[in-house]
Amino acid sequence: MAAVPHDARSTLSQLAGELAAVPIVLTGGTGFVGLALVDAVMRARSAPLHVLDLHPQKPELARHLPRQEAHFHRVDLTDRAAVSELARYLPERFALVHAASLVSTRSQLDQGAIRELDVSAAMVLSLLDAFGSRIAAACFMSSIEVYGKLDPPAIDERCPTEPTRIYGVGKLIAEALFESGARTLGFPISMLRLSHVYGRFEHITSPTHEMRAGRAIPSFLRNAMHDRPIVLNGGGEDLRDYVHVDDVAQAMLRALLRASRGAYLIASGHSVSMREVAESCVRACESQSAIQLQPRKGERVDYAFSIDKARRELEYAPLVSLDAGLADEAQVMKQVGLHV
Amino acid sequence: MSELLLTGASGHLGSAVLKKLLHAGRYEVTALVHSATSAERLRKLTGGAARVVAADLASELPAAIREANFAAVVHSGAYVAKVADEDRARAQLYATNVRGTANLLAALGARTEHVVYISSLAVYAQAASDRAISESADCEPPTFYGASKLIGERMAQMHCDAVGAGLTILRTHSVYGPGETQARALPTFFKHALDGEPIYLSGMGRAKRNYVFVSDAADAVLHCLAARKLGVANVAGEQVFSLAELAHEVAGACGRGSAVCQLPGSSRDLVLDTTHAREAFGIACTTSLAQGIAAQRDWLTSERDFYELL
Repeated sequence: MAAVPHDARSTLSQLAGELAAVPIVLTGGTGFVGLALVDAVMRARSAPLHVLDLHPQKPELARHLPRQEAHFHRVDLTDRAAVSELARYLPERFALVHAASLVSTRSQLDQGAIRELDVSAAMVLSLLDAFGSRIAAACFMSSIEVYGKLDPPAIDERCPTEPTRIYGVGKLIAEALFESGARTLGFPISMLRLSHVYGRFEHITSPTHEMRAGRAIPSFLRNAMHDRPIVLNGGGEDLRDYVHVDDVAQAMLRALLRASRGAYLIASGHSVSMREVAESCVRACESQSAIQLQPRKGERVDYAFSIDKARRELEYAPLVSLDAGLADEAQVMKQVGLHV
Repeated sequence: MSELLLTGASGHLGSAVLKKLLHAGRYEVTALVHSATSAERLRKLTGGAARVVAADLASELPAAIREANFAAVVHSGAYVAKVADEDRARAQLYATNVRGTANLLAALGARTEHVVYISSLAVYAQAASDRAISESADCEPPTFYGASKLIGERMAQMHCDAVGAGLTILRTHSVYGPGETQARALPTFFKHALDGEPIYLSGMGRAKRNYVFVSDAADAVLHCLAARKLGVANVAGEQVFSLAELAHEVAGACGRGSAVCQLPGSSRDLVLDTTHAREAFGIACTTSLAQGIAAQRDWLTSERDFYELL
């Protein structure tokens, strides 16, 4: 993992040190964002870290992770009784990080979509119900999907939330439930609205083959490693803001340290075209892959985010460049195996 | 005649809408209510003029809803909780207002051409401000009830965009008038005034409101259906009054000599701007406070059932 800049790593270690004595309960610790959060928190720890997840750690991943002293609890967070039962194994007061999430690309409101909304709501309802006043501060991993249509040149936290996909509606429900819990139970909560997150282990942690295959960066890197062409729709002009998973971890640590309240956009603050992303993947793999441009199929969608509020209030500063992050991810993919 | 589905048909606004829909006679109305008891009562009162279905919005809807061809839907069904009860009410608010709305929209599919979603003042941020709240104001609900109504709006928009249906969102101020049974400020004023007891107001009763009279709000719904007015509109009274004026009106109407005691404390205006509703939608809620309060007093003091006139 040498490719991630040293200053990013040392910043995480320093922030983790400041939080070392705070007991933390983290949900969704086996997803790729969750793994990075656990990794960051475990850089310095005197108080316990409890990880709650529906899925066990992937065995093929275990030997590539740094030694983790976290307490792992396998639990279905939508099962209120099971979460309540678990409460007695947890510290009296703790900071809660909710990173568990059901990933989906649905946009139609059907029974499948309703089940997804139920999961999103039920997890938060269980956490509030079971832990309530034991939560000292909380941080929720939300998403830019809460915004939906992205009209202004750069989205910021004041833009209206009008999701166009079920995933965004689910995140909005969870945000509203957490805000409600924070009001009635009196804990501070920050909602980190993450842009396109990438980074190590993203190629392996998604639960289904389709989801793993559907992620752009692992797919580009896989092709680049085999010198296969990388195919881009719409001339690769569409803009994205890719934020490295370690920068997300940095934002989470800073939000907890400050007991911040409210919504924060967590992005790199720098949009790049998909063509630039593909070119960077080719460089990261020292590949001979050609980039093939295909005619546009759908509407062009660009993303650009202002991270001014997070910079100002959290002192968040993204430290991992796209080149460095992709080089790290490529290296990890080679070590762990390509897995699709 | 085209088919119309009305949810929340036994509620305060819902029952007023039902009455007017049956009177207008333009639709074959299916009235959805949450309990078998409400359904039985409504069946008797409507004398078979509406098809009444009892179902929990949050559960799988019966075939009578899923398989019908509703040209229009008025979604007035919602769970309302007091702010003080929010901790206990969160799960129910999610179930009825969020899941229930999603469930309804999923059941309607692409067959429905017009959805009228009854929303609320509660969706707005309600920051302290001298200005009336317009439709373009920030939506940052201060309660989970407000959030659940706003998420309902968003899902209705998603659904209507996807299937090409028209959507009307009516954000109502507190609805008052005959049929109001919620334990809110006005029924409490009436209770004291009818018992000849004093009415206490904090903030010197200075806070301004423009509650909407139930019959005006129901007219607004029917008008939007008939004229296919799409978009978002505030539905509130044209008359702005202070809570002290409201209390005096109630005390005077009840004629039992109740005093109005204006106590110190903070006050906050909650007035919806009705300019857009009036100019773009043609909605005008013009019943005066005096007329509205007199009607509510008559309803409260009579044995006569609200639905008798149906």
